[in-house]
Amino acid sequence: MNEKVDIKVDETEPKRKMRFGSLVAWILLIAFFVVLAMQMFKTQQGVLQVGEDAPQFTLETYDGRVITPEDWEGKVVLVNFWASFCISCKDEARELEEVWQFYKDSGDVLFLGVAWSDTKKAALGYMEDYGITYANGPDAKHQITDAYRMEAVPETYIIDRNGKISSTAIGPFSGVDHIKLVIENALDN
Amino acid sequence: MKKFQIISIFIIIAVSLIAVGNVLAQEPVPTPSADEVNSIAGNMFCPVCENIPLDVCGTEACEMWREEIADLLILGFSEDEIYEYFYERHGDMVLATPPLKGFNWLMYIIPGVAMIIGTVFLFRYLKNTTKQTAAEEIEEKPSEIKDPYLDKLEEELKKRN
Repeated sequence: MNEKVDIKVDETEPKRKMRFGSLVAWILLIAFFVVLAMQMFKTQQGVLQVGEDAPQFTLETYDGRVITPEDWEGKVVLVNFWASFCISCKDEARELEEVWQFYKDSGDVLFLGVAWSDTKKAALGYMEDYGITYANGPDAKHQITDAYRMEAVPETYIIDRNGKISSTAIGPFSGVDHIKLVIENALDN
Repeated sequence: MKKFQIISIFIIIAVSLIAVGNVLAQEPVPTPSADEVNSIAGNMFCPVCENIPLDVCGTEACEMWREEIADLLILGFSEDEIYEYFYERHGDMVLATPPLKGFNWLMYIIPGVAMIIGTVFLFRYLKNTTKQTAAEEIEEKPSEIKDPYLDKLEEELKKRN
């Protein structure tokens, strides 16, 4: 019953060894695909969604002011991305200013305009043409647009008092009432 | 009276010469040519229209950027200073040759490393294939000289032994 089974191993068969060169090649290949996957994930994420934490940022405005996240505290913040060469941005520019004039003295609302890929001269000309008075500044090295995963101008994010995205407008607002509605919703949260 | 007239004429001429001298002494405003602007713009990309160099891009945004390059040249910025100016404002995505910083290193290293690794693998593959083919040829040779008469002769010899 206790039969011994001898398994003969062919000693002449060459042993497979993981050589150092192959190992390095595999590591590099895997690292390359990881970086590629990370980049693809980043680009496929889409814009920020309602309920997500809003990325906070410091804005150096064209008129030399510095608006920090501390200035946001306890306020509903409207972040509008625009460009002077953007036709749709011009459609909503005066409306945004009108709504800003409505809320600016309340102290509950802060408007921040972020100029995307604009030259200072063109941005200032645009602000003058449309009578924009709320804080506006350039997006240095696209850090703000990257943080908000902005896809195209105009895009607007309404942030509630808790720093969460309350609503988004991908494209221009449909009018003054639309802007007021999203701000009122954020104030009620 | 005549003396007064001579002095007056002398003063007028002197003042005119000073005025003309001042005008001539003014530095002419250097207006950069389109070629000068485009030679710099050709090394940059506009983020609005991806993968199109700034010098050939026809959008309003690119036109504004070219105007800004011209303004900077008038202000006396050098080519490198202009690249730095745009890099500071818009990041390295606007430069055709991104600076060697952070992950940018990978763009420069990966193609070279991939080529070296690829060459090594190709060389080894070809070497192994050549060896294998040679071995197979050697193994196959005896069967090639198989002859039925020879086999029969071998068989007869074995019987006799």
